[in-house]
Amino acid sequence: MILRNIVVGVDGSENAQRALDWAITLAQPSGARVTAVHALGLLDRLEHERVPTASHRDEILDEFRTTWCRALDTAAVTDDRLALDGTPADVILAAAAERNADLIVVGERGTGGGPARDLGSTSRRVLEGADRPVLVVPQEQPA
Amino acid sequence: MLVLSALGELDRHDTGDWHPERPARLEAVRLGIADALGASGDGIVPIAPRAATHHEIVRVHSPHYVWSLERLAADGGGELDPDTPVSAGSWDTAVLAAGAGLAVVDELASRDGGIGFVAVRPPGHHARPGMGMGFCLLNNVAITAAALADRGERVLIVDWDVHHGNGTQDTFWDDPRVLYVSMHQSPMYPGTGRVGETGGANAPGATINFPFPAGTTGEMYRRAVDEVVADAAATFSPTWVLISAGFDAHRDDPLAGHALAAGDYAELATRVAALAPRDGRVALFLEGGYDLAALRRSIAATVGRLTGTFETDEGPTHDGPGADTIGAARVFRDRLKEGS
Repeated sequence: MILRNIVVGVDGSENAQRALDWAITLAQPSGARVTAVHALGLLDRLEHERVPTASHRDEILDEFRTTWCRALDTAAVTDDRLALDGTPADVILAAAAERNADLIVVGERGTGGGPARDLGSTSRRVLEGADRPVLVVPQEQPA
Repeated sequence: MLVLSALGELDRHDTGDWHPERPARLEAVRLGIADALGASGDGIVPIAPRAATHHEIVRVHSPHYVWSLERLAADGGGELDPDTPVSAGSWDTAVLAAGAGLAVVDELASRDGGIGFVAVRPPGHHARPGMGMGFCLLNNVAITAAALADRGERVLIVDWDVHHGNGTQDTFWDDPRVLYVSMHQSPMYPGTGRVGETGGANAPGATINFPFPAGTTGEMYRRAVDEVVADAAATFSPTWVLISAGFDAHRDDPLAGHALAAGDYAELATRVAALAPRDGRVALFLEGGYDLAALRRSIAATVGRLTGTFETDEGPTHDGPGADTIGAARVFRDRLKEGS
């Protein structure tokens, strides 16, 4: 099995950074393309503050491409950086289908912030909806 | 006469301190209605919201989602997505919000006239059959439209919220009993509502979308109704008109980039209400609108115009982009006519 296309969800959270690092690590041996995807919702986060996406769209796009995806700048992989309107799970699944991804990588928890329950996490909805392999990267456990 | 079902103190949907979809919105709506009709309550028929039944909700939503949402709230809450928190009181509130619309149309059906207004939160039009999203838990307008359709009614839903009502579109995509019309900003959350989305195989043309660019004024919203929707409605011949009345296309709204003024909502309301077969067959459902002052003024303008009691001094807006969108929608309508 040779990985050629990996789609990874990116939202500025530490967990998403870990997911991106895993995507890069898995892509490098085979030279797979890494597509980083961010979902533009009604609200988004800038410097840990919730802001209306529509009125900060350019800032969010800039933050996504330059800061949240910084690990791609120095990685020896080809990459795309897609920001699409929609809910995170929908956007990740749509990008994976469109790119015919071999693998989807998501963090266990993103910027959502609410208590984790069995309904609602993006990673769970991606797992439920995906028709291809999914790697869920857990949060860093305290030592 | 305004047949009004307002949540008021029954609102237990807690979205947190930071969230723009907040309880204070309902107070802004209350004040806007008072601006239009006076503080005495004259001219209002108050209808207590009732809980929608399981049967009424699952006409639209999957039983699994309904069960999951109820359980999430019962467990203390969580979130459906980063935009959409659920609190311990959200289930009870959402069920009342869904039932308020049912109570209003039942009251209207028993009267000779009047305008229905469903002043509730959370809003509903993003809630899809299988999952809520975008601040929405249960699709209030869809639950009422589905109930009416099951009674043999033909329902026109006009959604003038600045975001596409993807949940309502999904619900009635292949249902010829409901004509769904949305005017919204694009590109914009949720990313759906392209002009080529016109309905499923069993309901060709029963969905009409106007994805307007940023900066669109009220003139384009009005022209969309005058140049496309009026003709489609005449063909469809609705027996009820339900309005997904978001007020976030207002130029002061922080969540979007359209440029409407309060007076545009009065003009739109006049045009859309005229598509109903007679007085007493129009109900408005609150959707978005996140600048409290703009929401109050827009509600006053809308309710004031429909009840003939108040005219805003914030007049309608003109010019700007969007004519291409109307032209494209007309092309799709013409193609459907040629194909039929």
